[in-house]
Amino acid sequence: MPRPLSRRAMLRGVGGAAVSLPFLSAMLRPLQSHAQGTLQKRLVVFFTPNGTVPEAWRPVGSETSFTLPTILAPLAAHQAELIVLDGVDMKSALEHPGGGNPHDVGTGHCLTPWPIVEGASGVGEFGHYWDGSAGGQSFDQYVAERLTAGHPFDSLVWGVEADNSRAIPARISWKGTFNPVRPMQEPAAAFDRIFGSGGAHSAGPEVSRSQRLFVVDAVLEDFQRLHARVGAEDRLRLDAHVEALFDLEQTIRRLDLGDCLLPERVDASTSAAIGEANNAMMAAAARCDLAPVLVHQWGSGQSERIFTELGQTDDHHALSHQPLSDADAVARLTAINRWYAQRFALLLDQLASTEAGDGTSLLDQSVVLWCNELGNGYTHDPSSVPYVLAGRCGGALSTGRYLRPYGRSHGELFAAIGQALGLGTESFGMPDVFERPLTEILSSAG
Amino acid sequence: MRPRPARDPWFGLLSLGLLWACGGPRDTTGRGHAGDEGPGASGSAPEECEVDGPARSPMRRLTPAELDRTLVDLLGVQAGKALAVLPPEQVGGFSNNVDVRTVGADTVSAIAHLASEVALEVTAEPGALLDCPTLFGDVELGAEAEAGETDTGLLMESHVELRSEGYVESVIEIAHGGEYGIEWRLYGTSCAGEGAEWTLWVDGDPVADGLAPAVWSWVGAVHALDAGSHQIRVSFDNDCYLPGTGEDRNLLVDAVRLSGRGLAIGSPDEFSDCVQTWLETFLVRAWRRPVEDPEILSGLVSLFESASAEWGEIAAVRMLIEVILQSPRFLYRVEDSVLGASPGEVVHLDGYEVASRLSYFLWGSMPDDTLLADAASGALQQPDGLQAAAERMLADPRAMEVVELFFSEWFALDHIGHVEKDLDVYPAWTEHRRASFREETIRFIRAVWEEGARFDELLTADWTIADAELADFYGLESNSDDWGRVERDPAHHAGLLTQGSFLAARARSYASSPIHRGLFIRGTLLCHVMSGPDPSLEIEVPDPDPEATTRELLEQHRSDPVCASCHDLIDPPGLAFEHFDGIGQFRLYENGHPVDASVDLTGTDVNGQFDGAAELGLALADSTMVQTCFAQQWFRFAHGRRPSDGDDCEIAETAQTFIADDLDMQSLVLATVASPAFRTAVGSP
Repeated sequence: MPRPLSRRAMLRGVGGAAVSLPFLSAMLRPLQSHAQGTLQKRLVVFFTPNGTVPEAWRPVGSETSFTLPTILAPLAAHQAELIVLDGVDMKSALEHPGGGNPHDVGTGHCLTPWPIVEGASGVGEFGHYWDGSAGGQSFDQYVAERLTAGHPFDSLVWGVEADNSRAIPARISWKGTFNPVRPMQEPAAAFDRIFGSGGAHSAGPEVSRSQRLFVVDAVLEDFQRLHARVGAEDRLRLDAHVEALFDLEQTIRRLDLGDCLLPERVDASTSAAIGEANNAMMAAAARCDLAPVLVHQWGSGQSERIFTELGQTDDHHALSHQPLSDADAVARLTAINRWYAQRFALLLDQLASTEAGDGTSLLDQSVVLWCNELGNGYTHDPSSVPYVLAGRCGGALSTGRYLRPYGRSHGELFAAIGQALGLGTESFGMPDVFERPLTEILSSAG
Repeated sequence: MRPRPARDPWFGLLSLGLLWACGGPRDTTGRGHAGDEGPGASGSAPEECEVDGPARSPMRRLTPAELDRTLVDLLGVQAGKALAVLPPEQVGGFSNNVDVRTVGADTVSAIAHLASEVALEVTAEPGALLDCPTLFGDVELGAEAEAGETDTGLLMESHVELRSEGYVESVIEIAHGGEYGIEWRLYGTSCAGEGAEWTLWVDGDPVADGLAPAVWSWVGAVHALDAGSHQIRVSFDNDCYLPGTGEDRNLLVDAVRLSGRGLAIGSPDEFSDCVQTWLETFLVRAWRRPVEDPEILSGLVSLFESASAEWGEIAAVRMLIEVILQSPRFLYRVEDSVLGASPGEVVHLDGYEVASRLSYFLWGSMPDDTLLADAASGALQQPDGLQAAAERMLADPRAMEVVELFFSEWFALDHIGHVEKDLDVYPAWTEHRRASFREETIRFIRAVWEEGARFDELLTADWTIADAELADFYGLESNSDDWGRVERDPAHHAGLLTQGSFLAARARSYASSPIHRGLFIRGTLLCHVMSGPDPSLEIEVPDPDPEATTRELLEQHRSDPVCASCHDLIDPPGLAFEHFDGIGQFRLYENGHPVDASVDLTGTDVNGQFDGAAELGLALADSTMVQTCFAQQWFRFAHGRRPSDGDDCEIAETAQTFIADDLDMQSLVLATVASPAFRTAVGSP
């Protein structure tokens, strides 16, 4: 199956020729709008870094009767809504590691099962890509593009302590090559963007929606004039800018919060508070159906976060390299991963406690994917990534299970999630590591 | 050591031992890539550079900090507006790297919000902004309340009395649309303890209400009115009369007035002319060059005209500013001269483009009027004129901020802000130490820069800047409580390298880390890029021996020849700092053993035996590799990108000037400006 055509690819047009913007403007606006009142499926992604401690993560028991161990224990209240997946590999990363550092490779492939593309500066210290890119459109953005119709945002990506200094290990969400989605890490600014007074970007009540559209259209025209004149490298930059302006235009057109219950505008600075504020905004965005894809990224690949709240003084990444014989280090790593599971549980609590109509919750409607850039933190290995799914996705997923699909690829998992979301995805990722969608996660009825 | 499967290449990377396929320093002589001891070490004079131009000329977007300063300089708004909504981004250490990720929807939204907020603020006095004061003015209109305009009111001598529910109305013709204060003069009487309520209506819609005061007062609201006639009404809706007590609630209305401040009172033609004249000068500053294409100017004027027709001139001015501030010509540094060039063709930049390069390099902001005048006169395209402009700018206080930014990013000074220390091992560590170390380094750099700007001083100074508390932490004598110059131990000093911002940042939480210190020196001072390790090998990490010194632990892995092939490069420059523990305090003993900081430095142009930080600092300051690397770091900062092979020759030439001028860093900055790469651009593929 050919790779999905990203909006970036469309922007460049067939054969790389620049397509004129008015034509694109029409092309980028979905023709149908989503019907109100029907079941809204959505994808929610949760990311945590540096792999796990498999011995303290792996459940004990059978497929349908199992106990969650130390790390996953905080999810016990939601066990009936989980699918714990042990043994799914990021096979595209294993087969196409490039020259990169395993954190770069794992983050680059995290939701994008294609080989990483080097940037102008190539590979630098420690095998880090200075300015490289994931190899295409990430899975969340693939879903976003297909479910965006009628929503004011195609996706909303939040983060906590995601590094701003490097592209690849700091980004999991990619609209296309060299076009990552930066996670929003400042809750107040994120609030203003999503729930700002009277819709997107009002500087005051006197600035009307039609005035804002007038300005955006004039800016787009201005970009078009320059776009036609610049060289290939600069065109890439302007393409991304123009695409973002189209997104903004859609938001201004469509954002109507109506009587939707808004979260609090929080000016948080500690990571726990930022995480909670993000969770609350995610739940509100789901409740108000503002975007079909919601992402929450905790940290970056190779996170060097120091868990002072757990009484620690060494950073997470350095700890992950301590020898396995260092029981103290293993205990601290277990505590870190359990702490992340608690953050994940808070998100699930938010989604599960919000009604979506017909006695279902937001969690029932959604499929939530918890992913990581590595499997085993100690070996820095992208196999057996500790994936956990939550939510029934409107009945399409059969939950309350512990599955061991050893040797299956994460592209196969994504294809099955695509099917659960009703996208009919037959394949996702590099074809050489793709056999068939991981349909074991689907309910027979779905 | 034993072979391992290829999937596990980074085993044990940052624990004590690891294996590298060591990379090498960039070859900055222009003759190909260096090995571990490449020709970059030789320092030989380069041949005449073949191509006088940069390897790449990508279009640069203003960083959040540059955008912030530009808004201050362009429009006089308060600093901090852009920084509040746009987070900084860094690639390869410098926040101005052009190879930073592209702009996404959240950034574009934040920019739109910022433009809107700024435009609203600066159009509060549009007449002053546009310099057309006569086109704006105050309007006052009014009318007496008359009987014919009420339904039930009783006309008294000078006012109307509403004794039962009803209204008073005036139809008022206005010539100029805009925001008006609409007020009625009235008062009310009470009944049953409650006063009279009034409601203000405009063209049939209620716009405000309230309780009428008991004495004659003006009440009303601010409301936008188009030009034309408007029906202005006040109504009385809560009549009350108690015959027993005689209480009677009435509303008494006297007059109505409309007042507009700063309204657009010019004709459409006058406005178009004014806006066009204003744009001709404003755009030179906003877009940092005169607009040559008349269609762009007329396009903006007609944008203003159509917005005016829809929303009025004041809103239209605001929207015009929003468009200008979101234009690619404001947000990006567009260099028109190179847009039409064929791939690889080197073109000379025009004066305005050189002016922007200068101002963003040296001031982190837009050109000032003097620089724009230099651009217009062609002075900046002459070597003398360029040098004079750069010298003027470097002497301006704004340059110091940028110099500090360079040093803090080059030296990765933020790192110290995040370290945590094990208080069982280091009871002397306090939270406050991080900020104190940072302050020391910034003050030290400023002092070096302002007193001769000698590069070697950075790595060899036998003094630092400290307050009494920090001096005490270091065990040094201080004469004053305030920050000031403090002499260091004459045997153990190496400028920046014996400051806590380096020593404590490049350490473990419970120990020093010669590997981290050595890697920093190789990477930051020698521009030695360590490439990936051999994926097929694994190091067995020994359990640390608590009795051993840090040096002894490192000796274990260096006894293995495969490990040693890289660690012989990494460890010695780090081990020279073993007299300083994990929080930067001096020590003579570690675990009861005397500290041995003697090292055998290899892989540089100053190889040899050195004992301790002071000797190593002297050697590094004298190294052509280090000096050339420093020139390369300024190239990166000036050009906003990592150098490519095609840039090496010019960097080497710049380094030659720097070295010939006794390592004067200001001279290096001027040489960076004077180099052909700074004045030219190359056509994109």
